[in-house]
Amino acid sequence: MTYDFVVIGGGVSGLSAAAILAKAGRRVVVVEESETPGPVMRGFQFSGSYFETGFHYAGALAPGEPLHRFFAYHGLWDELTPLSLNPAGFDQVRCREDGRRFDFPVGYCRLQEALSEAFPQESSGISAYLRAVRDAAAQMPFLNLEAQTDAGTLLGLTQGKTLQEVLDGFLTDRRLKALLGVHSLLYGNPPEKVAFGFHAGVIDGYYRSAHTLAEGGRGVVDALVRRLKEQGGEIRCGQGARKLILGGDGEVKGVALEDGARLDCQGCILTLHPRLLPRLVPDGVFRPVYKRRLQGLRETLSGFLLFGCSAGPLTTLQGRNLILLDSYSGSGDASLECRPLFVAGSPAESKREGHGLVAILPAKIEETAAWAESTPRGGRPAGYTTFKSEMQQRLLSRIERECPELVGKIGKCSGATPLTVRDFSNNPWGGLYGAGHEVGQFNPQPRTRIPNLFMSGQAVAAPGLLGAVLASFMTCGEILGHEQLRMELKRCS
Amino acid sequence: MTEQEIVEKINSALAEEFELDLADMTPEAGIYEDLGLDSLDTVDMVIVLEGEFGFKIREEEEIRKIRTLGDIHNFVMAKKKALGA
Repeated sequence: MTYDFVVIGGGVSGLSAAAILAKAGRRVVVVEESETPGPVMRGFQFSGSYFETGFHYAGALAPGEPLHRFFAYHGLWDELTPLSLNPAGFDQVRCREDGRRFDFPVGYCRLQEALSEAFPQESSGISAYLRAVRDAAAQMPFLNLEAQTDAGTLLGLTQGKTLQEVLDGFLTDRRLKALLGVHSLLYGNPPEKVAFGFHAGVIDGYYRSAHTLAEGGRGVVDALVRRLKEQGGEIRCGQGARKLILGGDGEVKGVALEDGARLDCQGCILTLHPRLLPRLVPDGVFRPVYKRRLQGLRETLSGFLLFGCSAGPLTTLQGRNLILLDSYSGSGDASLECRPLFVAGSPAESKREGHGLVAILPAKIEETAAWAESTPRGGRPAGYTTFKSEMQQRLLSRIERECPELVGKIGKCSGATPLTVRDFSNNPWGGLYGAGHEVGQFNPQPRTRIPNLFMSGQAVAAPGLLGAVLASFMTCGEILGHEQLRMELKRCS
Repeated sequence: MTEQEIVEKINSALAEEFELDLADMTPEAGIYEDLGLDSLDTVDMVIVLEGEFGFKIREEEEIRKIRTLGDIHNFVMAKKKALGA
């Protein structure tokens, strides 16, 4: 039997792309290396609590907004329940330098008011800056269904100004600039590197609305899998792709799996880290310059993660996240205690599960270089285990120091390091968000030199739930026709 | 750098990075019809030129108009002139 498409990688992008193609009548199979689909998005159970690993909150999930529309297209809203975060402050920044707190409210108007109240001298700059964010985001194809499909795809996005340059252009107070740059945590690249247009595309959705889902990331994965299967799509877990089999005409004819099985196909979508692509293709297929571009893609930051159980709900983290700053000029290179720390509560008020928090601290994979050779399957050395529990303790101490109301509330803890990220997300370079989107870097586009091989995933569009789903629509638009997909999306609400 | 040197630098870089035959690389050669590049290669062409000449290319419109190898030579020479290098 020949599939129309083999989709390599069963994360959110791969599942969504497969579901789009299945809905359009294509015969598809998703190949996922791990034992379950969506291993990163799915989160995990620990000591009776459910913890998110790939999804903490999302923008653009309100009716009429892009992610809501994408989910409606897939028919996911029968199974998912959006929970609005606190409109008066979905993210609270606490900074140790001056002890001040700033709550990011939902909505551009309220955000402008709140920022202007905190920084009255900068009022006009704030207004101009936020307008620039909104304007830049409006040019994103598929986020704005009226935008040109090819807008910003070639040079504009990657060669424009950085977020920092634009902040410096509109504003003077370094504290204000730090606050507006703090959401660079959402894509793992600092304001000095990320393109302003890219930042705008990500943050615009959060400025408009901020939600979690009662069912959590696992609910998204389960719902996507069900839709895919209802439409005749298949999923094969536990075997990764080893090679793409090319025909004499240079097109993909099949995908060889690690166990030697072969899936014949008319086309293929690859959602792996793009740096892995050259390994799957015979030498000489891609030009040297393209291969080097893929292999030279710079990685987003990795992280240390803390998962802490609590006996009851944590009021501080209900309906909002915390972002703890040591100072307004902290950077990712600073010592652990000086880096920004993101803290979120458990996703849902589940009756059967315990409560808890997830904390994420930016880190580089080099910080775990001493144990780089180890794997979870082969066992981690004792030194690593000690290091990891020390990290957990330091993160917990910092949270308790900055949030006295949480002292004594956190019980059993688990953690993750850049090595965990590396090994559980099939990303040898360990970035939380895979390959980054930086000024001066050209990320791969959905089309490749192999006519029936397409790429998708967050490296193509943007990170996070929205980025992963967006990438699947961009890629399937190349296959099914952008106009047709856009028309169908416009009918979804 | 003389015009001839610029042309040679462009040709040898493109020949290496795109695995082209230097003998085919005349100014009249169409980059799509004769040299076998496609629109997907545009980004990589920009990357090669940026790397060779150390400038940033943001002239999206002009890049889209390029049809022949000679167009690339002219684009780079005009750009170098404009930068006063």
